[in-house]
Amino acid sequence: MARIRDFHQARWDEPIIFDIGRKGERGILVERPKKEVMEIAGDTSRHIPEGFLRKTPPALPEISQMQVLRHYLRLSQETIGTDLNIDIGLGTCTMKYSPKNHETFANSPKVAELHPYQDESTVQGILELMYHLQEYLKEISGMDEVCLNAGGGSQAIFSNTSLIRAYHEARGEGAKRNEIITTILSHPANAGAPSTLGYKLITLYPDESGCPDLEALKACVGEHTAGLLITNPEDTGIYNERIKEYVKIVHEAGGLCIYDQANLNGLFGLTRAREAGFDACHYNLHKSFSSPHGSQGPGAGVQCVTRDLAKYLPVPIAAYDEETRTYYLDGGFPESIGKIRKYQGVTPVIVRAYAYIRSLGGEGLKQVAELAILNNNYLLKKLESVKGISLPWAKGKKRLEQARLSWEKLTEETGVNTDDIDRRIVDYGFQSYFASHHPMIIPEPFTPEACETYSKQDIDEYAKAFEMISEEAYQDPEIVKRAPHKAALKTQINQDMLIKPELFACTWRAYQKKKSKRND
Amino acid sequence: MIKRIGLIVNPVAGLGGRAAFKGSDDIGNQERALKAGYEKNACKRAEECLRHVKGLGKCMFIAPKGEMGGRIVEKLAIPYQSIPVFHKRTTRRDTLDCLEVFKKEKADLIVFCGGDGTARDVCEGCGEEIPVLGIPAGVKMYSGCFAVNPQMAGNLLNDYIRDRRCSFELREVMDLDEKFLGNYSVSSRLYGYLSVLNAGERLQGAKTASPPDPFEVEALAEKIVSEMKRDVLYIIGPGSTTYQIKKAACGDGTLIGVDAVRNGRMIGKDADEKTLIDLIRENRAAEIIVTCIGGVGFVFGRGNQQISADVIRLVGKEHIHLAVTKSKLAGLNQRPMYVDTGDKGIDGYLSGYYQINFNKRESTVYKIQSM
Repeated sequence: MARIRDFHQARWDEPIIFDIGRKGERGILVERPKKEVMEIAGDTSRHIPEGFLRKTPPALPEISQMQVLRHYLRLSQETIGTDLNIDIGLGTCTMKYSPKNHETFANSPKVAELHPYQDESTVQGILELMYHLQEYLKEISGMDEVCLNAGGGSQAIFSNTSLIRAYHEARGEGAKRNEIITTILSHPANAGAPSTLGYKLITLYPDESGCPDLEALKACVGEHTAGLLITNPEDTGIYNERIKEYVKIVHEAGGLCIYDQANLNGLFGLTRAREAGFDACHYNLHKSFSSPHGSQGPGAGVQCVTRDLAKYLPVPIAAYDEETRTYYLDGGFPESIGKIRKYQGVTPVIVRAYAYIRSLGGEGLKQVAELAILNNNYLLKKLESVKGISLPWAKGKKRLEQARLSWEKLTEETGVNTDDIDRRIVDYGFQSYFASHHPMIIPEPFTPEACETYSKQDIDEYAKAFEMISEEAYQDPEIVKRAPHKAALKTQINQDMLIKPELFACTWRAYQKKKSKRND
Repeated sequence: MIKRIGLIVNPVAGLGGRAAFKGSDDIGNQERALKAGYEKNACKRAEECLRHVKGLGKCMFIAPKGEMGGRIVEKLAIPYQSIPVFHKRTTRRDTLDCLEVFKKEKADLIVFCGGDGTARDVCEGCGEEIPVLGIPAGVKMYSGCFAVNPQMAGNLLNDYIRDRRCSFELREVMDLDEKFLGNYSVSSRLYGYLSVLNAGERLQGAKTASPPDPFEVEALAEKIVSEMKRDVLYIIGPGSTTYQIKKAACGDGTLIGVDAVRNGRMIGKDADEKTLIDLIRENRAAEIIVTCIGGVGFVFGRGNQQISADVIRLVGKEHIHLAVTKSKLAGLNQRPMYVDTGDKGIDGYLSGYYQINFNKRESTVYKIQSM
C-alpha cells in the first residue's frame, strides 16, 4: 500500500532582501587599513581604469548577518529540492543518480582551487581526467573524437550545427546548403541553434506511429539540406526503430545527421549514435552522467563526432603526448570552428561525470538504462489506471525511459487541467512537474521520468498522489483548481506576469522602475 | 437482427457554398444560387455514400419520400419504409418531423446528409437518444459528427450493418459563432452533442475554438505577402489566419469569404466560383492561399467551396500556398490535412506533401490526404 504523507510546507511570507534592513546596517564591519599601510599603498583605486570606477557605491541591501541567514534559510524551506522529494516529474530532465561522494571530488581543493591559466605541467591530474573522460565517451557513443567544451546542451547543439556549416563550407556548398531539418518534438534548441546560425528550418511533425513523418522527410530533403537534428526517443519515450532510414535519406541528399542524446539514461549500452549512422551526437553530462542541476546550471554538454568532423571541433581538447608522457590542451586544429566559451569546459561537472562512469563501469551503465526503462514502464502501468489520464499515440508500444501522458479526458470530464494538477501535486510534497515543450501537440500534457534512481516504493507513492488528485477532480474539482493549499506559495501564478514585459522584472532596479511608472 | 436506419437528406445543403453564401438555410440565397446556375449537390453526396453499402438485406431504411432521402434509396433499389412529406419546398420543420418518426419507429441509427445547420436540427430533434452518422454536404461543417467524406460515411455504415467493430462517440455539434466575427475571428459555438458512429479514423474532428496566436499569424502573413509577385492574381480563402494576409496584402478583405487580390488591390471581394474562374482566365498567373480549419484539418471542401475543383484545376497544385500556423498543425493531433472537393480526381491530384512556411525562416512539410 503506497504511503501518502500529511505534508505542509513552511510559509514565511518573506520579503525580497532589498526590502529588509536599514541604511547603514552591516553584517561585518571591515577594519580600515592602518595609517602606515595607507601611506605606503596610497589610493589603491588609482590602479583601476577610470572607466571602470563606480561613481556611486552599489545599491546592495544593508542588512545584518543574522538577518541574511534567516532570510535564506526561510527561502530554502520554501523550496522543494531534489534531495527533499521524489523528483520524478521533470521528464527529459529528471535529476539522475548523483552520489554525494561525487561532491567531495568536485569540491576538493584539488579541483576547486585550480585556475584555468595554470601552466599545463601543474594541472596534469585534471588533464588526465578530461582525457580519459573523452576516451570513455568515445566508447559510449562509438564516435572518433570528443570535445568537452560546451557549457550545456544548447551550446553543444549550437556547436554541432556549426560543424555542419564548417563541413559544407569546406566543400564549397555552405551557401547552397541552407536548410536544417528537425522535429517538432525535439528539444527547442534543435530549432533555435540553427536559426541563430542563419539556417532556414524545416520541422517534421509526427505521423500515426508517433515518430517523425518519414515520408515528409523524403519530401523535403534535397540539395539545400545541410543536416538533420533529431532526438530518439523524443519526449514521448517512443523509440524510433527506423532511425537508420532517416539518416540514410539525409546522407543520400548530401546532408549530415546529428543525434540529440542529451538524455542518455534509457540508451546506455543499448544503442550508440555510431551504429545508427550519425555523424555527431551530444550528451548533457548533467542529465545523464550525474550532477545536481536545474535553475540554469551547472551543466556541461559534450560533442562526440566522427573522424570527418573532428577537425572542425571547438578547441581546446585534452590530449596525451606519448613521447613526453604528459597531458596537454590541444588547440592546434586549423579548421576548427574556434572557441565556443572561455577555458575548457565546466570542470566540476566533468569531474562528476568521470566519477560516475568509473564507479558504475560498462555493465553498470547498461544496468542504468535497463532500470530506467523498467521504472518508467512500471510508473506508466500505475498511472494508466488513474482515471482521466491516457498515454496517447503508439498504442500498446512500450516507452523507453520517459513518456508524455495526457490529462485531456480528465479536463473534459471535470474541467481540471494539467496546470491545476501541476499546482496540486505540490500539496502532496512533490515538486511541480514538467508538462511539455512548446508547442504542446499532446493536449493537457504531463511528462514524468522515473529514471533508475527511484525505488518501487517511491514510484508507488508518486503514482498514488496522482490517483488521489484524480479522485479529488471528479469529486470536488474546486480543490484542485484552487491549489496549492499547503505549499509555500499559496497564490496562483498569473501567466500574464511571465509573458508581459510590463508586468515582470528580472532585477530589483527594473522592478522599482516599473513600479514607479505604474504609480505615476 | 434487422437494423433500422433512419435516412434524412437536406437537399439544399451546401448549395450556397460555391455561390459564396455562408450557408444554405436562407430561401433567398437558395434561389439566387440556383438562378446563378449552381446545382444542388447534397443528394449526390448521399448517393455516393450509400453506393458503398453492401449487405442491405441486413437493414431496413426509413426515409422521407422525394429528395429528402426516398428518391435516392429508390434509385439504388434499397428497400425502405417511407415517411410522407407534405411540403414541396422542405424546411427544418420537415427534418424535425422525420426525427419524431425515427424515434417512434425505434430506429437504431440515423444517417443524415447536410451541414452544421442540419446537425443542429438533428441534435435538437433527438439529442443523444439515437446514434447518428453525418454525411458531409454543407458549406462549412465545423461539427465533429461528420465522416471525412461520403465514401468514408459509406464504409462506416457498411461496417455497422455487417456487425463489424464500431463504437459510438459523443461528438460536438458546432456552428459559426457570429459574435466573434466582429473581432475578426472565425470561431465556432457548441450547440450540443450527438452520439456518432465511428471506427478507425473516419470521422472528421470538430473545429477547435481556440483563437490563433497573433504573433504566429503576423509572421506568417508577413512571409506570404513579402513573396507576392506583381501581376499575379491571389485567391485568398476564408478564416482568421488568411484574413490577416488579406489585410496585409491590400488592407481589405472578408473574414469568411474568398477574396481575390492583385498588385496590392482587392479585385474580387467575397467572390463566388464563377467570378473566380473569370478572374483566373483574365490573368496571366494565379495562386491560391488557403488555411485549414483548426481541429478539422480540411483545406478544401469546407467553407471555401467557391475554390472548387475547376478553380483548382485552372490554378494548379504547385500554386497553392498553405497558410497554417504551428499551433494549428499541432491541433490536428497527428492527422493529415484533408480535401473533399467533391471531385475525386482533383482530391487525388491534391494528395501529397506540401511545404508550409510558418514565417520567413521556419517551415514544415505536411501531408494532405484524400480519403
